[in-house]
Amino acid sequence: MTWYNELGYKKNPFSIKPNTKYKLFFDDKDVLGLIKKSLEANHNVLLKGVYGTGKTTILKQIIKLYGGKRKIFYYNAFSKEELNYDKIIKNAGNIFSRLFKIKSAEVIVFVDEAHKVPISQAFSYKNHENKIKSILFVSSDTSFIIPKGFEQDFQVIINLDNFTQKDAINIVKDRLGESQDIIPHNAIIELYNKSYTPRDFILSCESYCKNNILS
Amino acid sequence: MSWYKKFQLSRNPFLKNPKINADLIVKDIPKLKDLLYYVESDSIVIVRGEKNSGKTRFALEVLNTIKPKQKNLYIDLKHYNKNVDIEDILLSVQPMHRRLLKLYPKNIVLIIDNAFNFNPKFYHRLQYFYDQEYIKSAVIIYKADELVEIPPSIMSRVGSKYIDLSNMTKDSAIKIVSNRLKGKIFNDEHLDVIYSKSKGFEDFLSNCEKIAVHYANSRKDFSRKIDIHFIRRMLI
Repeated sequence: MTWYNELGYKKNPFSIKPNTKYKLFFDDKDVLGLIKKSLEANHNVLLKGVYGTGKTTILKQIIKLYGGKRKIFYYNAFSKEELNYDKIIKNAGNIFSRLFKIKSAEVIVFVDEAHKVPISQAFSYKNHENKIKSILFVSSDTSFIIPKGFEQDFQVIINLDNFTQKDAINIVKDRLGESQDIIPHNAIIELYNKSYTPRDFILSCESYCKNNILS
Repeated sequence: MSWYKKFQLSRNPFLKNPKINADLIVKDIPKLKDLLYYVESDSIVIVRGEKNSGKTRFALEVLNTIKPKQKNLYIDLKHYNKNVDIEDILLSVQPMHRRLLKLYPKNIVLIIDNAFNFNPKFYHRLQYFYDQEYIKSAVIIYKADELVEIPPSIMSRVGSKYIDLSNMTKDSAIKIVSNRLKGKIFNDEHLDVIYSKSKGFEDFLSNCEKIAVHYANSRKDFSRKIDIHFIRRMLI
């Protein structure tokens, strides 16, 4: 039996998989709300942060906010296929429009690991501007910048670079709920001080619980 | 009649292939418990060790423990092209109709053996399937002295989840073979002599087999164990 089974959890509460079950904490900023509001207002967004800052989790949560509708298209740069906006627009929409290859209007496109997508592909959205509502580029390369000529297209740039002690405390409260005292406050601070990102911290919490709770 | 049947054994006890002779040394049990925990708790974990430290055997023991309640897939990258796509591997275990519709297995435990020098795209794709919950957890196995370029995005997910297997010692080697023999053919003194004349575990198994086969083919009475002088003569 694992430590979390002993505490009554069916699954590991410190799993690092991006999921929509747990809240996100970004130094009191409503990053999720800001991104959704921007996309709805037809603004393109660039979201940057090193590995483990919560980018994929944000993507999953936004997709959930939209109810997983077909008007959201998720593309990962490590996909087998090239980024093709024409194909995306044709594949979005209802079965009727897909069957007759009618281009859908108002598609929102998420491009994960955008810095890995060739510029010629990533920025060819210009040819479909009347069909693409907004774009969210996500990059783990914090030095990634929007190339010249396209900067004005990205009205919102968000850097996930500030993981605070308060965020760490909130993560523990959110994930452990009533059992949050399992990790004493001073232990949380100690684990936070050794962590660079939320993921580092979550992994450290798991290790702490495994070593201190397992009978 | 196969030589080992003359010793009332059902299979060749000196095969190196860990899939056929799965041994587990007591000292590895705490590490096995750790690995089972990581596999159950949705982790990506790295298992490292020198040649013949028992990495594959270790991983197979995990599969034996989690079956049949957990879907799993063991792959040995030694048998694949360097540019293989993990998507193709995941689809290959699906029935035809699911393969045609590109429906990936969900929540699968993936064990990747001999993970060395692969196209980084392989690991990026692994990351994608892990994040999207097609892969529940992944065990990446490689030899400690091999140059393995695993991308930082995967290493960030591994964190400190490493299991380092200790090298095969003489005592471990003798214990493994003794467990397989179940009191037949050689005793521990015989195995000690054979091991001292062998260069590593594979050579040890090979020498044991050579001596046992020669004895089986040259004798009619198998009720007594092999004489130690016979063994020493064979090893000259």
